[in-house]
Amino acid sequence: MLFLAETKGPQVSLVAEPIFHIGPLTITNSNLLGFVGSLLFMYIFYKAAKMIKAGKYNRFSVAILWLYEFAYKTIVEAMSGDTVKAKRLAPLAITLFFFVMINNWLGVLPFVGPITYHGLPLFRGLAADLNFTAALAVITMVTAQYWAVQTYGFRGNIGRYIVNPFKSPMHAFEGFLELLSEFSRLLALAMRLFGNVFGGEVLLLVMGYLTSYASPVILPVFMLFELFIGAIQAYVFFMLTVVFVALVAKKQDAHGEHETAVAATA
Amino acid sequence: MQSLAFGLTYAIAGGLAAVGLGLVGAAAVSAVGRNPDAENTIRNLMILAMAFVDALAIIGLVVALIIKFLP
Repeated sequence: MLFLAETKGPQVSLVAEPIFHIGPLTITNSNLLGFVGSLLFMYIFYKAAKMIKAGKYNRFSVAILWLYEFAYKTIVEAMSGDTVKAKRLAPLAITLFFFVMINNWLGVLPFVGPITYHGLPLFRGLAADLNFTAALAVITMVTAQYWAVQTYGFRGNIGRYIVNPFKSPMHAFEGFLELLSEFSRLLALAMRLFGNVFGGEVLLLVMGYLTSYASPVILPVFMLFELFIGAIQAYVFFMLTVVFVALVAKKQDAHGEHETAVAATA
Repeated sequence: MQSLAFGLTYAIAGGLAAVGLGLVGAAAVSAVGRNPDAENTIRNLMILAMAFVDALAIIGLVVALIIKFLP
């Protein structure tokens, strides 16, 4: 146990480190893995689409098809069977699902931490950078607002949040709470994905440090766990996107109860 | 003081999330006991609810790490 105490503890960096600059653009290590993930994502789906169009079904294309249909069915259910609206939302939501999942899985691979460049890790999980998850959360909330404007109209959408307090003080207070909850959803959506992926990285680091020589036996178990968490978190992100949009896709009676239990927790 | 803050931040978040996870698991088990046919649906719902509870604990972990590593 002596050697354990002598080594330096694992170094954790909360932010993505800049690797190099292209003009005014800073490329961080999260960006680099993101590029790899994007290319892989486009290649996989280009190939799958080509195979399915040609009528070639093997394990690869059927697996993609099965996942796609699973996600699509979830959207249709959340939209209470409205396939027109489901087809409008499906491209964005399902892309988010697969993109986040592939990037989460890439971040668990063993080459992500150890390869260094001038003392900094060359790769870092894309979702372990708060900028990325915040951007996705903003995309989700802007989409929800866009759908809300289409459902309620521009003035009607503002009227959901700001009500004349002299007419009905109760509804004015409710509207204020609604406005507050939009921002808390945005924050929670970003922090949830970031926290899970970053927490997973820290977990792997700490476990590798604590078990030292036994780590080749112990770490794969935790890596499998991280793969599972990555898929679940991608699904949760997708599910919340769908639920936030589905909540405003259909007109509810003024200040009606939100029947979707998932939305209440978010 | 900083170590105490680090420990307590994660301990409180983790402990309360453990209570939440226990509630979710207990509810799921009793639901399966009452209605064994719906096991698949209940399992999906349980994992979804567990992910929500988990997220709070992990946000607690991130905040604790911010306390520890950012001065």
